[in-house]
Amino acid sequence: MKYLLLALRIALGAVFLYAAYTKLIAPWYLFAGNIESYQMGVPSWAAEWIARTLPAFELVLGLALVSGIKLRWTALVSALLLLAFWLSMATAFAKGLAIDCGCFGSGEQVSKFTLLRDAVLVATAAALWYFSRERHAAL
Amino acid sequence: MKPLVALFALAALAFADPSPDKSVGSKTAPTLIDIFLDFQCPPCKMFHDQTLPDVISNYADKGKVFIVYHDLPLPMHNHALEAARWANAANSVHKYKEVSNKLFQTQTQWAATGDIRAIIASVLSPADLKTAEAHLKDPAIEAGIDKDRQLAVQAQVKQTPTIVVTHKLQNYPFGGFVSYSILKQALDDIAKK
Repeated sequence: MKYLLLALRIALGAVFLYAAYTKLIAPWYLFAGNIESYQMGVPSWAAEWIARTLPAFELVLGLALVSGIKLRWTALVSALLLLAFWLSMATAFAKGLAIDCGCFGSGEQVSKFTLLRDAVLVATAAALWYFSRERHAAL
Repeated sequence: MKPLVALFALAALAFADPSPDKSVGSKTAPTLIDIFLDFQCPPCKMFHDQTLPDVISNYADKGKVFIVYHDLPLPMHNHALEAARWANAANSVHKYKEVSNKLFQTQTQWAATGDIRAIIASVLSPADLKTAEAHLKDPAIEAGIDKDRQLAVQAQVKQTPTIVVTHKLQNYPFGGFVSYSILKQALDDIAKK
């Protein structure tokens, strides 16, 4: 179990670090454009704020997961964040919007594949939270 | 978007000679904006109605950007290709923009009925309508749309609207609807580079 937890948190952390990297190397307004294209009624000031802060948040989350700091909390926050991403993508997909998902920079459209991939990540983060909670309780 | 491929495709555009009716602003402007639109796509209507007028008045009209329109009718929209044909046929009487505006304005109407001719007839004079209708069957109309589609493939544009800002041979693609507030900040930042 110990090694499974280690593998899961490093894998999930690496995904967050890569997602942060692809956003941080591009100008913030390209990601803001991605957010607006979801047409979820997010005002442009909020899209700007998310675009400016989310990549840094993903970076911190990725580093915390890889290092294992406060694992129960970082796993929970990761699961909730990934769930929010999944709901946004599912809504766009259901509306028939052929948009860029904005997951790892530009160029990847929202699709069944991106939905499945995010669902796997949600399940991974949820499993990490659940098992790290169990381990914590056993100590 | 793969930077190099897109760069070459769009850099080539900068030296192309788009129809004056399918472009806005001065060709000598330091920034080029390529806009790929589908007349039947709702986010394209949003972009056309909410964002584009401010970009034209604050940037294109002031010589800061040169805007070029490209038709990218998507197969998922059953009347989009016909609408693009009509808009390009109207270009023969220099009414591309007027027809485009009307098509976006009445999008829900003709998208439901498919009666695009009636919409065009409300914009063009009977003589212009006759000329445009004659041009509908002109192979050059289809070729022009195909050229835009090819360009979209080369530039890896997969969705509409797609707004590609090119400045000093570096391109910045916005896929999907983008508000004026965000695009304005982008254009101001890009102009400083």
